[in-house]
Amino acid sequence: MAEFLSLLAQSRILPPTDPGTILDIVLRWIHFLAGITWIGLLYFFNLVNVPAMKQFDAATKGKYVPVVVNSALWWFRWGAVVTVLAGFIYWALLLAKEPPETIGRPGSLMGGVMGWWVLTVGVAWFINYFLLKKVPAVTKNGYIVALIVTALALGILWVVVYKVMTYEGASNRTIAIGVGGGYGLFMLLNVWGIIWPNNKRVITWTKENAEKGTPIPAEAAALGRQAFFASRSNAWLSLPMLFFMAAASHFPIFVGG
Amino acid sequence: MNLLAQAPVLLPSGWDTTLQMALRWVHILSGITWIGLLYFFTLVATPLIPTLESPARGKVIAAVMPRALWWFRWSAQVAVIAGVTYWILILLAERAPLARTLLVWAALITTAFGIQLLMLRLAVLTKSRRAFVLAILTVVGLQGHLMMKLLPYSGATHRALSIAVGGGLGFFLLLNVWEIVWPAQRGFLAWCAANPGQPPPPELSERLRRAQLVSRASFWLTFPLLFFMAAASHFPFFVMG
Repeated sequence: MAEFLSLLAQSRILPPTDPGTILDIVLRWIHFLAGITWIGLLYFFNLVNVPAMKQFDAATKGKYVPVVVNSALWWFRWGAVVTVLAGFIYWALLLAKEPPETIGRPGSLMGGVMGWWVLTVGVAWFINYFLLKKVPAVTKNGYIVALIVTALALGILWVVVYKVMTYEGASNRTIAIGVGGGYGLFMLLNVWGIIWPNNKRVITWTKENAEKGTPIPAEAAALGRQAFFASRSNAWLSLPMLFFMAAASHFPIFVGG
Repeated sequence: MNLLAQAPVLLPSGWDTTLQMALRWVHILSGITWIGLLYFFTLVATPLIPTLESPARGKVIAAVMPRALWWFRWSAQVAVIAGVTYWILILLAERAPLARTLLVWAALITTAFGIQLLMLRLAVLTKSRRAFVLAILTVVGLQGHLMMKLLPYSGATHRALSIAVGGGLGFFLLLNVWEIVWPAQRGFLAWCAANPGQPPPPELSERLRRAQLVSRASFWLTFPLLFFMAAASHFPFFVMG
């Protein structure tokens, strides 16, 4: 008991006061909250909404989609933007400290790394976009989409780890965020490049159909299918994405070039 | 050295590092499912589904809610079990008095939850959502404060204590899911299935109203919960000695 009481006297709350640590935790907290909103709603769409929609008749869809799905998509796409922005700033702050002073000038490689990183993910996503939107054979078979996305994800992993972030003094943390964040950026592009624009049109048509009886154009089926595959790809990509996010601080796999 | 530079991927070999990473990953995936669905209920379903006209409303409730609630309540279980296992591994590594720590921790949460059950019977608190949420925040704030005072042991780290407080909120939320929100929603779904298009009887609507208060309080509690989870590894505010 005496030992316990003396421990009480010794323990205290003393938060870090340096602005860098506080900024990091604020960015991380925003990243968590926005990321849970984004990916949580992604899981809602994949695990709940897709099977539920199969049970609805046209009249129910006309009520449900413009109200519930529309609102969920609002939180989903803006949650995605906030998540990626907060994460990107956090990563930039880390890159600004690399390589360590003992090896080179900190921050000197930042521009190059970010440029190649954006280019790598951008090219990978554009291939995905082109195949989903312009090659009808791809969206006929889910396994082909899975194969394409797996190949692109492995490609991003390989380029980021073996080509972009090979400078001396690169830390496990920055490389792991480079890979996980690369998947995150890919997913954001899917949200704003395919899922939202396609759904926006389908929602408008569904609403007009319910209100004025205008027929839903045949194009809607193809747009819905593209959006479905982009959403399903994102759900699967979130698994390695979250692994690399957690590995950044807690599982040193990249020893650095 | 040159060869190493060309092959920068090297998995950690310790089984404990791998086990911790697996637990962390499961915790993150199930936690996102759980809290993401809580955000869906709070931000989308609760304000919007009641505005749908009948019979669409009944069909939406019957198709969406059972699935969403299934993933919600079971991912909550998985998130808490993975998290508590992870926490126990840390406590063992720090040679913490395991039984005392877990007992005090669980007793504080159960007490806070018991106080909430009493609060739900006080009309003065349940009449206003804001008053109820503020009262709950005070109770769990006290729960966290007492944890900080009562849990420290010789050699306690910031990480173990930050998880105690954040995970304490998580356990409180799990009790809310399984003891209040799910039983009320289960009753509501059964009513909707048996009496399509009918409003629920007063006793059931009162239970639902209370469950929604608890759900709203849970929504706000996720903010400090996630702060303490993130702070465990990245914002050391707790100092021993």
